[in-house]
Amino acid sequence: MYALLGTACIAHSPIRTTDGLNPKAVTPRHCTSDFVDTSSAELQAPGADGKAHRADVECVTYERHKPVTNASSSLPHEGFDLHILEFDDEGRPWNDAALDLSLSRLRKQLDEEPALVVTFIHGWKNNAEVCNGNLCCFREVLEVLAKSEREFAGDTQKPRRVIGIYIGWRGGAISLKGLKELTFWGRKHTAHVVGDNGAVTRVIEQLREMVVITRDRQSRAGSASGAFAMTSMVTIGHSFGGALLYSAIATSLNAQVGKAMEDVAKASSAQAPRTQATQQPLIADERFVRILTTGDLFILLNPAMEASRFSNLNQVRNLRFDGKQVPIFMTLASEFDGAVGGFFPVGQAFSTLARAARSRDIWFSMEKGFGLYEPFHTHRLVLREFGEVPAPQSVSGECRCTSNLAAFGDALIMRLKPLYDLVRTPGSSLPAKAEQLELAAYRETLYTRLEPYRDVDPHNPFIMARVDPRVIGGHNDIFNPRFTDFLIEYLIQTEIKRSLSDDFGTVNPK
Amino acid sequence: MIARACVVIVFVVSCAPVARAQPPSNCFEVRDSPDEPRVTVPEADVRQEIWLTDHGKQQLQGARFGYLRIVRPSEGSALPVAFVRMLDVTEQPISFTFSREGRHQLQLYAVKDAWPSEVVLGDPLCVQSQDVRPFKRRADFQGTRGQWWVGYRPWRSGELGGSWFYQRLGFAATVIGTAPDPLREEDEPKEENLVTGTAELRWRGARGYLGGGIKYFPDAEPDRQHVRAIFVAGEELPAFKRRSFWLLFELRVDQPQKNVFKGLAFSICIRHDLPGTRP
Repeated sequence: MYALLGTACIAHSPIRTTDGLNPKAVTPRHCTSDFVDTSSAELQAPGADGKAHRADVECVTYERHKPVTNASSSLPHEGFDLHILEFDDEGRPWNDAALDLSLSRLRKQLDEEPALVVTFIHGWKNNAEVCNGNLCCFREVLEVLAKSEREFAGDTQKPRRVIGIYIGWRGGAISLKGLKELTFWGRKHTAHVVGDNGAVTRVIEQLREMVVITRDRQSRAGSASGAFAMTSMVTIGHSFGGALLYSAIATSLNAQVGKAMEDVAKASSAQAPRTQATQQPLIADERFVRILTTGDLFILLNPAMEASRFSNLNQVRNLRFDGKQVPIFMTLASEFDGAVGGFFPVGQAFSTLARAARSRDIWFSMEKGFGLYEPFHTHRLVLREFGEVPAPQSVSGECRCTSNLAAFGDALIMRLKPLYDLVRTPGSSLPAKAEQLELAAYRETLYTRLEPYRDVDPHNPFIMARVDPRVIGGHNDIFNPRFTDFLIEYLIQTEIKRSLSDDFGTVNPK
Repeated sequence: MIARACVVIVFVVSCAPVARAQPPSNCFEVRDSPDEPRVTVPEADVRQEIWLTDHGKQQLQGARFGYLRIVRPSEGSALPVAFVRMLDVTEQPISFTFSREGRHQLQLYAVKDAWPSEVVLGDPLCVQSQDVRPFKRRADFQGTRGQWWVGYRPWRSGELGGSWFYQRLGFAATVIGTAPDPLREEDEPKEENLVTGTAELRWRGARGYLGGGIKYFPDAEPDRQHVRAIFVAGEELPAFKRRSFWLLFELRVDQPQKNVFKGLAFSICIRHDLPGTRP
């Protein structure tokens, strides 16, 4: 029995690096370098060669994915980089030296060329293993983005480098089927601890600083022209990874919101204060606020945490925003997320036993998932029923993303060509001013449409959207081509707006 | 005379297009969201449901999709703000939350395939006014309310129950049936108390209820009473199709004795409310 439990437990140890506090920790013998040149094909290769290659990748935190130039089976791309950063249950980096090495590599890369930095934080029951499901899918997303950058740059420009950062933590504590569901409470708490304890916040802030400095330099030198030549970053958290990310950034986001609210309060101080009797939050004054970005764009996908954590940020729902405001924070939660919609409230019913609720609605916000509490919804992402929509698929194999994104990636990029042409063409129908690009208003993408669910300001930087099950079909269905298309297009529009509004995160945006 | 006739003709001709351009104004029906009267959180604002009328469907000329554009009037120096939604005739209504009181305008447009450029709406097919009035939030659990439900108790039991609340205090009664054990051997003693009943007093709180009462066992069991005390608690879970799920806990005193824990029995139940239940 004890032996069974012993094998069922997932050790608290790093996977792609060594424990920096353990002097006896040695790098496995077969690891001869601190990085590996690889490709998706090599990682997915069956048999002994594939196994040996995966073993090589297993002991490094830096994967350098080779460019593809003349392949009949794939669109060309310039390759991409993937850094793995691991944190322990207390939110400390497993190996400070490895983390510093990764950050110094990133610094050097960002100094050398414009880049798109995409950070992904995995969720429950996942980790940083080479062939972990989330990591495999993340690699395929990075490959699609690398192809997208190549296509967009065309023949005349150099594409931006795509750099992925995968933040690993112990997403599961038990591997035994059935029993592992009981790790819900422990892992949720751990996700918040890792996020709260500061190291992830520090890494995000360091990345942010690197990106800002690089962009500032690019802007001043005039070396880069247009939205797509600028270095940019996006940070994504899924499930408990969303909870971790939110814990890491919530304080700074709330501080920004506090500042915006105070600006509004100051402006309206001459008017009569709202009384208890005025129940309807009719905002008499129409002061436009602007919240400065704190990390370009944060995206939570099917986050597994209670909705009540958003109640302060939700205070901005009725404010009017400056036309130059760029999106900051987006939550996308599937309406068909059984884990967050069904299992999560039951878990919350137990874990909040010692807490009281002021009203029935507040109780719902305490037990419902972050993106599934109706009063907080600002938008709905719906399948756009025009044209051909790729049907859901599933695939298996070594180091493959089960959503089969790789197979759809090329077709997606080809279908996005009209958008790239439109963005590239001078004098096209794209808005010429940031104010005209209303990213919280109704928008259509190739497969989806984003619709306001309430009269939220068209420039509101906080989007809380529920998602049609045909777009995200469940808790883990976040890497399908329908949704990937939305993310790519929204990112493109955000970067165009950032470029038009000159908001590159500098101290004083114009 | 001829000149006067010409003036009349010119007037009629010049006015006619204007008269023809007036779009109809009865394409939508706006109702309060069924969730609205129960809402107590300040985030909710005014939640409405917008339905396309038959006349509105006619304006779309058989098309499945149309655009709904909601225009908020200007406030002070601010310009009007518009919010666009796509209407699907087969998936009604559209839920929309208003944060401002006053007269809004609802406009219906035909759909043109726009991607990848910006959506251009063109001329409205229909324009209608809608006055948004604030709703008065009310406290939870007002007046008298009835509930009834079915429940499942692992592994072989089910329950049917009903309760009646005045404000936060309520009375509940349930009947619990247990399916015979399919693995029971013929020589084993006959199962007793396959049907039991409870009667409880309950106190409603924000999360659910706490209560106490009695449970009646019709068949005699050795060293047990027919009527035993129970303590119950229920936590409300999110609703499915507007009907709540509940997680129920029951602690039963089977046999009062010195070692209190030995005489207790614990069970849980998943309850699903039936139509007509009010929280």
